[in-house]
Amino acid sequence: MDQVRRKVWNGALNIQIEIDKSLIIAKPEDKSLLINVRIPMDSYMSLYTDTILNRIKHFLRRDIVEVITYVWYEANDHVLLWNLPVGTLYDIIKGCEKDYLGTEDERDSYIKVWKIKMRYGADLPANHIPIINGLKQIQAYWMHQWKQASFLLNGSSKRVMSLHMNDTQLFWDSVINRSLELFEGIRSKIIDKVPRNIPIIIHEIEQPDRLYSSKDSNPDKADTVMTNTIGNLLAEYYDANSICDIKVLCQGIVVPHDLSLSLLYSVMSSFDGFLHIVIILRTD
Amino acid sequence: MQQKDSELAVLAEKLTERDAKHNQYAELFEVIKPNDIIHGGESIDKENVTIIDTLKSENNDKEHNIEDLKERIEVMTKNVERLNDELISTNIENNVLQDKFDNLNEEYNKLVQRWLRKVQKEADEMNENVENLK
Repeated sequence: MDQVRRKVWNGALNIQIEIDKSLIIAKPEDKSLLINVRIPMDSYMSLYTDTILNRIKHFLRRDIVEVITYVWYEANDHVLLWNLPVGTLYDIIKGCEKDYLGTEDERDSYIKVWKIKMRYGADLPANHIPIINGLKQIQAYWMHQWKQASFLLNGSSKRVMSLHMNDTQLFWDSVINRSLELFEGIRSKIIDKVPRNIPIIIHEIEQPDRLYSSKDSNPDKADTVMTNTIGNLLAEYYDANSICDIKVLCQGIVVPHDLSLSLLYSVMSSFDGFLHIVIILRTD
Repeated sequence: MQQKDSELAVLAEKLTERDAKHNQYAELFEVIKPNDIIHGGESIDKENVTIIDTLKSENNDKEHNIEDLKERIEVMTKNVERLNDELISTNIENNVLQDKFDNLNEEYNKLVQRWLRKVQKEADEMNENVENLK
């Protein structure tokens, strides 16, 4: 179990970020400014905006503090919502692509790079939550997610609310410093061995241009929580004949339909307390 | 228990496969941390940093200037538009008044003609009467 948790926690993506030209001083021949970074899948993209801007601070037209609120990310012309984990965003954007899993032959000669854009402008996209208070705002949002997750898991948010101030800060620090041991220590205080419900967010991708439609899982089936499988969950929403065509992605892998949800949650849940599942309705 | 172990083994294997893919040439990508400003711009010396900062602040001022000027142009354009509107409305008013004036003038001329005709008629009658008395 620990091995899987460790892999989920340590998973990272090679990301190439193209910086918006209006953000930087023009380069010779109007070349784009690219920055190559490796970002953990189990974290928020916006945690790294400050660092990325610092890497290119000598090219910026304005000071970082002036621009940081008006920055967002895009991939394939879709806004990347910072309030979803990076890995989930990757699954949502790239899940529909045929080469998502890659082939055996290309492993040695191929670099898996996710090319995204850092955009800048006073008109922020409609579905983007503006970050006006930096990391503090992200921390507050993340804690709020945990309160919701705890409510579903235990029937109340008490366990998160009553965490010691120190523990709350350590919990957040473990995310910032990528310390799995610390994170797991505090996470185990919130999650029961037998949870009442499992906090799942289902991201359904029907068409590549209609992203971010999410479903809430049915929380009224407490008695079946431990025996429920992904297949049962899918049966709640989809036609029985089409279920076998549905591809379920979680943390960058395709998960089998007969897997128990409680096991999946215990090892594959994200750092925000939810299990993010991306459903690809195969249209081919 | 055995089933759980086998399920975990499947997940671990798939995650290992995923990592193998994503870790390929990972050394070309810098691992970054939130709020990490220590390593930024190592290769640029202090003098250049000062020059860059000065140029940046100048650039900033210029951009603010451009924005101010753009705002001014916007206000001016609005003023010109308003003036044009005024001109058009005055023109229309002028045309209406001109029409009114033309109508009144015509009416006046007609009245004068009628008056002259009437006076002529009276004069003719008077002359006729004088002629008859003779």
